[in-house]
Amino acid sequence: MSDTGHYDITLVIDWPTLANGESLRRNTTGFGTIKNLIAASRDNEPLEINAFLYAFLVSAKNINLFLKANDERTKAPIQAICDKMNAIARLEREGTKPEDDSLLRTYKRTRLIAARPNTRDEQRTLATLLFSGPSTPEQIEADLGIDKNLVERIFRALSPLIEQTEADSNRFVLRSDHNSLAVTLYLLQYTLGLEPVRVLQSQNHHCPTEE
Amino acid sequence: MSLPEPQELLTLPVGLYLGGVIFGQAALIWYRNNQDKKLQSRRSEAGLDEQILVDHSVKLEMLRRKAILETIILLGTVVILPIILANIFTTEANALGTIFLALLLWVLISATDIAKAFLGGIAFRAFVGIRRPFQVGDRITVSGYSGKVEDIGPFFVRINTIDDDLVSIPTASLWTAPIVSANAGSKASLCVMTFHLDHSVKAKDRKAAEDQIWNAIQSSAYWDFEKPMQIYLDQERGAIVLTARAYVASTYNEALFKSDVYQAFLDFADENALPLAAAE
Repeated sequence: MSDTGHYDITLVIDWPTLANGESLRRNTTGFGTIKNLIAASRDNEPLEINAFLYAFLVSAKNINLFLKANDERTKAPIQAICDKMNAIARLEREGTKPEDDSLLRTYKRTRLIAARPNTRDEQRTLATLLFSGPSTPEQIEADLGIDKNLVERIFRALSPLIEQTEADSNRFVLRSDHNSLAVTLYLLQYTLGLEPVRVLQSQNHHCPTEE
Repeated sequence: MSLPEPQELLTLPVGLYLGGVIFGQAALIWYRNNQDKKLQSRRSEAGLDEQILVDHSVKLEMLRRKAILETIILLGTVVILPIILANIFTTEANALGTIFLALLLWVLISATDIAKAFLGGIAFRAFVGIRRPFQVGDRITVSGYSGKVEDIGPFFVRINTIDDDLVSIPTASLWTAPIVSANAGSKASLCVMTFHLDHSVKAKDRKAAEDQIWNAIQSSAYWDFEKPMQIYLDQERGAIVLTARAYVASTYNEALFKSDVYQAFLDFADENALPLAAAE
């Protein structure tokens, strides 16, 4: 994926603001918007998009058949996130504490909330933030049919994983530090069966996970 | 082989054999309990509860290791131990052979229902371990019951139904029962959803309905985006049928996945006055 030549897309871990303020929420826009964005972007300047959204677009829209992506900026972070997910798996399987205390704290605080079988709204909200990026409570309400007040309560309950954006206090996003992302991805893998990291791995083969 | 007199059976190697069978099973139970206690203690120290949250494949691997150990101990003590003892105590080979055959005959002819159920169950467990028609965690339908396999025991297979009933089906009876597995060891499973439109629907609306189903599936948090999906059209008497085939990422969420998709579709139909038809 990251050989030499021109790239249409640069993968990043955070959520860059797109041209014209357009969003790539997965429920409504899909491939058409991103194609338009790339066509409108300046020559020789690849469009930056979030790696997890890319993982979704690869699977759902075959974006990798049409657009060439550069993953140089996400290789190291994804590797670090994989390592931390493996540390959480060892904690669950063997009871071995992770070396990083803050990872253990974050995991313990959110595991109680997001891993319960009856917290489907929390799990769907995390998945929406992972693939659609910064969202207002109103957007989550429209996407998932969850009452706006409940969405705000979910944001507060999952504050170790979710934060307000700097630009807009009514917009929330997943924290982009490796610990928070590793916990989010681990919980989504366990509860919803989603594995975007595996899609990214299969694209570049740089991050083996433990069995 | 001439049969020895009963008093000739009370020999050291026969005692070692029977003692080995009993000790092997007891040691296995002790080892398992000890390992479980140690793990629980470490997890408790780390601040975790009893529920182990690991990926489906990791959970299956943990269960497989346990089953392999159990099989090794069983074969080792019941079958291999008498062969070793017969080679060491060559003069006592007749006695050992007699005990082995007596155990076998007792099992085949005179065993009680409990022993038969147990041995049938053990044999089925071994078969499941090798051929894997279904595994713990799978969603199966057997003997008219559907649900998640909680445990494959020597006596019963326990299934947790969608109504949260715990159904125990005799393991030995599964040799002759048709078994349907929705996911066959995989985390994901296929969902087939049908949508019935009235024949009066306009072509434009039909296309819009198809697009809406596509969007509803792809925007559901439960959809497995790593697997392919299809939508195809068919005609029935009184209805045009759109059938969607898509995978739910975690088979336990199938009902929630379908609920997401049907809800989005019905909202769309309501907003756009799309004429629907009843399913036949």
